Amino acid sequence: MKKTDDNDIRTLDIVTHEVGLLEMQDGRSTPDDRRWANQVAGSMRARIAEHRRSRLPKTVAIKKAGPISERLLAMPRAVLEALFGSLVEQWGPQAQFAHRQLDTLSDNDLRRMIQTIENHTNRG
Amino acid sequence: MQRDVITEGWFDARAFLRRFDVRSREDILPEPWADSYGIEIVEAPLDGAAAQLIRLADLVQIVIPERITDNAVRRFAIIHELYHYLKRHPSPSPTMMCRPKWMRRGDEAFHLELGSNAFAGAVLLPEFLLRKRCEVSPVSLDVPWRIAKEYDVSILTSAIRFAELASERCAAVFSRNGVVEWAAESPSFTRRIRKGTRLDRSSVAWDFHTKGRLDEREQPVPATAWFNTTADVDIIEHSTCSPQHGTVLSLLWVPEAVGARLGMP
Repeated sequence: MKKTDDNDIRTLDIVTHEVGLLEMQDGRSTPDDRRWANQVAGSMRARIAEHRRSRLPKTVAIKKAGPISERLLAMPRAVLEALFGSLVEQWGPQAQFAHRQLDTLSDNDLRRMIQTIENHTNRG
Repeated sequence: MQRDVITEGWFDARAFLRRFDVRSREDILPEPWADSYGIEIVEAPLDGAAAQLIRLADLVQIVIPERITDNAVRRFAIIHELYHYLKRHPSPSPTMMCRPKWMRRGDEAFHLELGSNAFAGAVLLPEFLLRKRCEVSPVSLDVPWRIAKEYDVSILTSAIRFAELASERCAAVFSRNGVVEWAAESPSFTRRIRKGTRLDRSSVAWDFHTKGRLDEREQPVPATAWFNTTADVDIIEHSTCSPQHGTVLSLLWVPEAVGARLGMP
């Protein structure tokens, strides 16, 4: 960015700031002011939403889950549950899990969750 | 509590649709929406659930079972899990997650699931696009069927949403093995059809659970088939069955002329 642009932006910042402070001190707004402000905010929100929509990808790649490791396949249910519990504790509030129409987490469902957590833990 | 989470889901759905500037059916894009939040969609041989959300700091995955090939079910599942993510719903404890279903009854997750379902239904079937189509009389499953096809949702999702937006007194009722599993009533359908209610033998839905087939045309049935009432009047029932799942979806309509006699003025 050129230096003159820099100066222009800085000047605009200062002027806007000072006008804002003056407005705050005065503290009066008419119904017309509020209507105008709502219109400006509404129109900005609409433009941002339109931009957001236009940036959405046309197609999204769907990943396929990899095979479960031999190590996890060899683990019995009790060990899996203990391991899962300790990993969840380790991640604390950064971990979130939800299931739709959860019946019972099968051993392999549990193994797959553990594998995802372990892979991500090791990556970090 | 149930009503609150459902209302919140609808409210959030309106904000969500505004956020993505949804104006028409073509703008409803579950997978690109998920992608815009950095969420990966993963297919896995998930045995025990219809979908799963995993968030580990910056890694967020929505896992869809490989066995679910119906696009309508997948779309619903993605939006349902997306809502859990957006709302940062608390996770059940690991012990709770590992318990079988019958040991988890009454846990908090049940309400969160209701909220996510309400959100998904309202996002996939926006009120501003559909309300007029739901304000019809007479009422039958014809409109929900057309909406389901056009919006790529299941007939169950469509029938629930139809009841939510309908101006007439109607209710979508889902039954399995002759027992009501859930009912979604329109705002003017002020009597509740309770979960666990046994179907009456004079209902059309009862035929499927006893004979394995039913007459899939809308038809009058005695009001006593669905209500505890002394009023000798008919209501309209339009039922459809799923032999594969052993279930029946019934859309009940209480016409204006009999509403008052059934306590729905």
